[in-house]
Amino acid sequence: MSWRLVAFLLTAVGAGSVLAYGIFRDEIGEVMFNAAML
Amino acid sequence: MRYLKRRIFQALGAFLPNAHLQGFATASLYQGSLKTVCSPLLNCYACPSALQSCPIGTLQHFMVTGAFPFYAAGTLAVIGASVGRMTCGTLCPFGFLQDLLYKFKTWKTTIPVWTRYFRYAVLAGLVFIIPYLTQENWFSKLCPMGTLIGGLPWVTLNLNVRSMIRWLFWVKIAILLFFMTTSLAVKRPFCRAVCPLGAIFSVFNKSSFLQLAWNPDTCTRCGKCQKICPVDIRPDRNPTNPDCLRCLDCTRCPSLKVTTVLHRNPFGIPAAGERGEENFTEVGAR
Repeated sequence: MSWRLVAFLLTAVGAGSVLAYGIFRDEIGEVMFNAAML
Repeated sequence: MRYLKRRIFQALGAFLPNAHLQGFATASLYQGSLKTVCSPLLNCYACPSALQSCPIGTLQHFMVTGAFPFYAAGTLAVIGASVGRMTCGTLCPFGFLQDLLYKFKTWKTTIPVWTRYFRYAVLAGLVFIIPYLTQENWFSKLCPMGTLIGGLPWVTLNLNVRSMIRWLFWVKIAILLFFMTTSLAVKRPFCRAVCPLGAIFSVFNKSSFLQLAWNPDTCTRCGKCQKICPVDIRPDRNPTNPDCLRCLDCTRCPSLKVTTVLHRNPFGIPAAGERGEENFTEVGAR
């Protein structure tokens, strides 16, 4: 397995986890609120 | 054909995130559910027709509130891990505008490679540190795309906004005019030297799922790939260059090919032994 594939897998898992945690924290609602306050 | 396809994608990238055209007629912002989506483009969410949120504006908002932006950062990281800077090359409306301006037949020049580091300073300073310290979205206040599709329409549509014009508005106009003028002579100056969204995506170019591959056996080092590259780089020297927009214009050359991280040998080049080439040490041992 090449280092590039390992780096991709680690990045993808990390990115997916950060996104999932953001959704779990209901940050989507805060983005909506911020957009409405413009 | 590929070039034409990119232009069509760029036109869609400019129109679809700004398809709420009645916002111009009613002088109001769209506030529906699509505004929860951070688009992977530099597209101002204060534009009357904007349907989605600006990822850089969202990052700054969370810095102002003192919280880590998991949702916005995760969205950008998932897109970066998938396609690297491809959205810059194929969808970004401000990149499209710079591409079109460069088409004018004027004097042409280039900018030094070291200017690329300035965009990381803009990301760290204007998107993270200064908004955190001052509680103000400083990149958004100066963003030329925000001025073009957010500031100028609102000044035109709303008399109250027009009466609020201060010196900062003229600074924004000057920044917009500077980048529009330099785009006539330099390929994508804003994307290469300033864009914080490009700075984020460029980090992922080396390990993204989508990759660019180069075949050293067929490349004649003619440099035509640099001539057609929208950011003036040599993809043959470094196919994973952080400046590469993954626009795939250079794949018109048969020595460059779009591939994925799963392919270790996308051109199917046989190994040295399989090509019948004799290894120097083997020859010496005889």
